Amino acid sequence: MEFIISNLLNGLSFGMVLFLIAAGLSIIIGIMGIINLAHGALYMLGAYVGWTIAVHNGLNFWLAVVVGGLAAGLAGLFIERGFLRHLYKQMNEQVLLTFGFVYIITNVCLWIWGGQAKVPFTDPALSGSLNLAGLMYPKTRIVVISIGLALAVGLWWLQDKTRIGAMVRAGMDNKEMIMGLGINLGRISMFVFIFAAFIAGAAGVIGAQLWGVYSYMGLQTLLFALIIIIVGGVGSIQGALTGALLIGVIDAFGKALFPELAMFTMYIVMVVILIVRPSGLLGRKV
Amino acid sequence: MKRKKLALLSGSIGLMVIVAVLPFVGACAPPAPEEFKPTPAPAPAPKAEPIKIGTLLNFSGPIADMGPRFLQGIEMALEEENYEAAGRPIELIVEDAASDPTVTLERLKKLYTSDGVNIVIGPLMGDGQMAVGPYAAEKKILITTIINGMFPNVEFGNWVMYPTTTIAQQRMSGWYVYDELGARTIVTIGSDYAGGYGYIDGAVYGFEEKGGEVVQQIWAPIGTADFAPYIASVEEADALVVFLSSGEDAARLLLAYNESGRELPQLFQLIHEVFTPEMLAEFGEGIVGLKAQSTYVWNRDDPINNQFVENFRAKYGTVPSIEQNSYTLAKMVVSLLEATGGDNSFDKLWPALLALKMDTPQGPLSFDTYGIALTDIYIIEIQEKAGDFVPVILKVYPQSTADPRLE
Repeated sequence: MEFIISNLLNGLSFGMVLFLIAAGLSIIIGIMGIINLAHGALYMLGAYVGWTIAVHNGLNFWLAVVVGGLAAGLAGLFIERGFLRHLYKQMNEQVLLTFGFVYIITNVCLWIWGGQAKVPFTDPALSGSLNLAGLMYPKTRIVVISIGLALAVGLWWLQDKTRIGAMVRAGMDNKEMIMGLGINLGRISMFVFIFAAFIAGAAGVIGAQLWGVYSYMGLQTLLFALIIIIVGGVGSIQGALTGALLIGVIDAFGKALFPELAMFTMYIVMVVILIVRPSGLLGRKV
Repeated sequence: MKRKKLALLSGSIGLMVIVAVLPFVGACAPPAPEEFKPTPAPAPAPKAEPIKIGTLLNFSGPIADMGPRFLQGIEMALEEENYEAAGRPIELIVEDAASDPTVTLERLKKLYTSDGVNIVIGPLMGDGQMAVGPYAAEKKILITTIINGMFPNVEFGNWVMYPTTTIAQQRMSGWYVYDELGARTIVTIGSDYAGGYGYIDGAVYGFEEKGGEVVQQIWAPIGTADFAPYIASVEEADALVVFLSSGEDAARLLLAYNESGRELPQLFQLIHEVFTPEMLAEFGEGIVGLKAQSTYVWNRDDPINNQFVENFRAKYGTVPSIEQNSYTLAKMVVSLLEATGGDNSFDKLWPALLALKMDTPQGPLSFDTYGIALTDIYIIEIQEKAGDFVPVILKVYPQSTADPRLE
């Protein structure tokens, strides 16, 4: 029983980090129609900046989360205003451009922080374990699960229940109509993109509690995010959450029960979903 | 519109021309040497002609952190020699192996055919070594490993296996776990690649020689993001022997081990150098008490090592770790060239290698008849000393790294 609960929690915490990575990308791809392959690199940038604040300068961990998010948001602003706004609806160009930014951001990070990995870090108050009905479980993982759930609820509310969420969705369905109604869609797109980049950067610091920071995480996290979006469905926060938790739990039990298949578990799930339900579990039709 | 079409047409034609001409550009290049022809030694070559030393290091991919560190060691060694050996200038050519066997082989071919290099330091990764083995042997390139080598390449007779082969190095870890930790059963966790199997096999070899039993073996992909599920599945045993190829993987495993909340077997890590001194400081108390095998211990009190550490710290502002390996290899290459009077032909270098005896920061260095280095192996424990987290030597296995399969 302890084995099942412990791996379930491991899967949930891993899945929540995956959700934090994928949530912003899901919004950008599904709602704005932009393929931003630099999303993982923004996650990494946030993680490195967070490490500088929390470990190198010994400041508050939660300050590091905010500053990491702001750094990624700023980079997002640069990418969107400087380049992507000229390439709306041009998917090939978006892919090439943002993949180029993966290399640029990765090399800038290598240049500033070097290639040496940074050890996982957290707030001193979160070190150690909590007793969950006899099962000792790390506090950091419980915090990651809680933050992921809170973000999922917040994003769902923002996307489905607010006026700005409605404007964004309407803009993607009929750009001309929404602009004809006097709404500045360009500005809304910019804010959504920066917001998604902020989430990626903040997620980088939150995820660093479990994964640390290292120089190739930009591509690794991008791959994770794309798998989550394919499994959960494009453009849906609920889909990203479902996909992330499903992948997280299957990955945890896969590693524990069939470690020799660990390299493929995520991809097996993705292939099955693509065959059975190509639009993903809860995909939104764009 | 017409102008646009014309521009498109001329662009396409230009592209076609470039594509058509490219093969001929290659054909016009100087022909690659078919076979390396040794110069009749011992007459030294003219001073103006540089000896080219190539390196295959990792500057990108999952272990991108290691390339710059190895380069630091090589550059420091060559600077100490004023980039000269036996009166000939040395030219260093650096290539990125990219942690990819295919790329590693391509870069070695480039070093040999384009640059005329026949002495190469690297590659690091076991799969990369296996990929370049036949080519390096065919071209008679004197090639080195950096942190141990894959045994099959020993047969080629042109590999400098430093500090030794993977199995030879870790055999003593198996002995230590059995004799000193008193373990009779172990679980192993290793990185799922050729080198990972080599290291774990070495520890298992030594452990089983003593009569120990392996109850479970787990192989984790390089770059595993979360080790908690693996730790949760570890079966009951006396010790958990771990080899992970990168510091970030080893750090995540240690975190999962420390936070598991379970009663787990005692952790023993192969190659503690995957943790840099900076990482040890970041871990803090979480790493105190970790027992590990080590090839090089920076704070070992020895005049040559103390001087090396002082110089390294003055130059790079930190203490050395794996940089010692590439430093010693570069020094070794210079010593070989000195011994041959600057003759860099393989047929002169190889006998010089087998006759070489050097004192290095790591300890005494010599080679067996297969080119496998005989070096000291250290067992260390991480301890806190005056606020620093440092390795402390618990046991030394002196120059005992002969590969057991050649005994």
